[in-house]
Amino acid sequence: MLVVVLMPFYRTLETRTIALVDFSTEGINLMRTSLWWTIVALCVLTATSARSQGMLSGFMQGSGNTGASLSYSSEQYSKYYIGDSITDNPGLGTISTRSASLYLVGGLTSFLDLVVALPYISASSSAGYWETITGLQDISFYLRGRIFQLKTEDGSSLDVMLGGGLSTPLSHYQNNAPVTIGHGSTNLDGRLIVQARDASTGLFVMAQSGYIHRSAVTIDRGFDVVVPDNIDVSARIGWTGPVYLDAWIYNTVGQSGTDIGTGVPFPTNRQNFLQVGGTAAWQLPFLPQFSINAGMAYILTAQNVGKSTRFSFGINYNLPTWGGMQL
Amino acid sequence: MNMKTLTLGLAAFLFLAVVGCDKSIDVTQPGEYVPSANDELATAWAPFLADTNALVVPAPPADVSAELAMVKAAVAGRTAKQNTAIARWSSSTLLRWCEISQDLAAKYNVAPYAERSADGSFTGKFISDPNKPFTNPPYTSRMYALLGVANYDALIKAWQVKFKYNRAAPYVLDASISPAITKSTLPSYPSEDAVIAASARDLLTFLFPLEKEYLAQQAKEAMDVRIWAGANLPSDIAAGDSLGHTVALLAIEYAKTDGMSKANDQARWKTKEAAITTSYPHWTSQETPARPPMLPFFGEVKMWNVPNAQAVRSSPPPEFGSARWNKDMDEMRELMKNRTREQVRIANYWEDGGGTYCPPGHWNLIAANDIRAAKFSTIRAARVLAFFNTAEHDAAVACWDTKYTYITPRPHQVDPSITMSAGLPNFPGYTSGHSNYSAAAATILGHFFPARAASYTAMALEAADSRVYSRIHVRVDCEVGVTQGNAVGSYAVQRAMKEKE
Repeated sequence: MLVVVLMPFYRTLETRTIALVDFSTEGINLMRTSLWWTIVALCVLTATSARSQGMLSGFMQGSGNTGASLSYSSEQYSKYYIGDSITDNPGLGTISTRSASLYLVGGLTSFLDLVVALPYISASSSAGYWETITGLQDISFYLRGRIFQLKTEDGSSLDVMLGGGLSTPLSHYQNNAPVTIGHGSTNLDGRLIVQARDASTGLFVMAQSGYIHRSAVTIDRGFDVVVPDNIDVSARIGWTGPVYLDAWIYNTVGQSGTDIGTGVPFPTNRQNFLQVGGTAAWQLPFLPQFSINAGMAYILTAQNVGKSTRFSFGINYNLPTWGGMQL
Repeated sequence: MNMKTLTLGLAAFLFLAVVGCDKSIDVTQPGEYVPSANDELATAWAPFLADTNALVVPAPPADVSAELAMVKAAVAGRTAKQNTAIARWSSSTLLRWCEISQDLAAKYNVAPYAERSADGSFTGKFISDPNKPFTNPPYTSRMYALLGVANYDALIKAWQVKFKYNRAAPYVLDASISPAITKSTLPSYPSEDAVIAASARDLLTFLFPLEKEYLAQQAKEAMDVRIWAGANLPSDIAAGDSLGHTVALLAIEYAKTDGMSKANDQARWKTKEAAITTSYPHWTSQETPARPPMLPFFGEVKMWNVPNAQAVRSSPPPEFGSARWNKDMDEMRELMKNRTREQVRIANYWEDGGGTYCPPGHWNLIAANDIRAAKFSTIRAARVLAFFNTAEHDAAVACWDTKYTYITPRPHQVDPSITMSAGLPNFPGYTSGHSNYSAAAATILGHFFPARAASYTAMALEAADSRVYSRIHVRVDCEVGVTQGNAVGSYAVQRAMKEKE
């Protein structure tokens, strides 16, 4: 079975998003024979102001396979929610967040993957007198392990995976202002992923849910403040044919927190949103170890985040296999 | 599925379970505030509102047997909830009301709503609800001063009555009563806690009418806990409530005629501004939509310790295009290019902008912490807060007078490439309000806490620098603002030094 799947690994950050690429190949023999068709998936997601959201793909990388991705994303909003009410602020205009992110995904064993992400972000407002904020944001490390698999003779499968992640700020960026690049919290993320794939058509469906715990943060005003935890639920449907295509829906709900008060966003704000998006990826015909991807995401409804639209593009590279760990 | 994947799965499940745990934050409680002195000498201190002198508090009732029985029953029947309330208020009724005033300042620190047409465009009108004061820095400094004066003046009278009648606390009158707070030798009639609760309740209700119910509930609890704790008799509380209420009314009468009601006369301001000639462009609002200048006549509001704003008005600012002007603007541009993370932190630490308790509130927090550390008597603590907050009010008046005499533009108006991470206040630049508040605070607090004087001065200079780092003020605004604030603070010190402390 020449199934090599690469899937998106998503992660959203406060006011910006990061797209994670997650290559997967299933079986290193395929790479050696160059019969493989690849897929890649990639990227997208976003969010505006909802701090780090997790979302791992349902495709394992395969022992010894490593992918690297460089992506660029642009996210904008001019309207945002204070509690349930949507509003705008002419003193800020449109908030734009651009990010360049580096991702590494490696199959440590056939059932365990490591994902590392590193974003550089720039956030600015189109009106008013606010300065542009730029900087390295939070580095993320995720482990994804398959705990159960059912496989038919034709290669169709049902996989159950658990994911766990840690993200933490790489720079001491400002985390309490109308224009910021993140909340500065250290986050722990745990999630359950279930995916079913039909080998004959290449169609798959995935569902997952996760809990993200965020540490309290110290703001420059000299106080420690709580950053709410979130629970998210998402579903995705896609096709792993000659190209990779998917569509997804994502919902995240803050487990505590405040509404934006007196017009000023604050790390304690409870941030909820319902978002939809899609991804496409192509393998480059003459450079089969490379693929490119594009994605978009759109917030349908939210509380205490911007109603953003996000576009992203990425280039992905499958590194030569190294064989994986022998356990 | 093999054993390895199963083990991994279990480990991951455990991780999920840990991650899913509830989290809580430890909030440090200050603990019981036990004053280290009774300060009988306070009976000779002079109130800010002279009318307080004439107030008469009736003598305490002679027969207290029924009241003692009530207190005994209250102590015996105390609930866990009441114990929690006792812990809350025994951390200092005075400082707790200071915190409540800071909370209200932050809650109401929202600029008037910019009205829009159905199509979303601005009408140019700004809608303010008379029941919702905009607790901007001048308003807030005035509020803290009125509260400080009402509490202090009421306590002076309370101290006079206490040492006139020398009524002992219930646990002294009846040794079988075991109080829930540390025993005190301070005469208990009238209750100083009830005095503060009543004066703060009524003054703050006048300023924040929508908070009437909340403030009444807070005051009732502040008084009730004294009975539940076995610390006061009901007649101590009633006399304190009455005294606090009466003094609050005097403070409210003062507030009604201090000039605040005329401070936002925009029509008069247009006429006055037209007659001012400057070498630089007049300040204009940088907000979208542009707002009228904040309180152009706050400089005419009555001052507490300074004869009038002219006595401390700053000299004119540098001329447009002068060497000093250019140097200051160059510093702004340099800070656009190079600013350390520490400078950013300082800018944010002292910002105290919209939605916060303002710079005078930040200094109230500093003062409260030092009062707590010093374990001042309640009246000495109230004296610190009264002198310090009247100095803050005076600093606001002095600063606003200077601002609207010279109406200098903000750096962003002169050079739009200069942007900020902090909110840009909607009033002229020269002199800096933060510098004024902080220097005045450092000067008067240094009088009460001499060992901390150097530290206060360093903090004030850092607060002044913070406005340069945030590119909201050019340096001359802050340097002259510090000088002005020091002068204002000195008036408060001179007033304090007239009395034996």
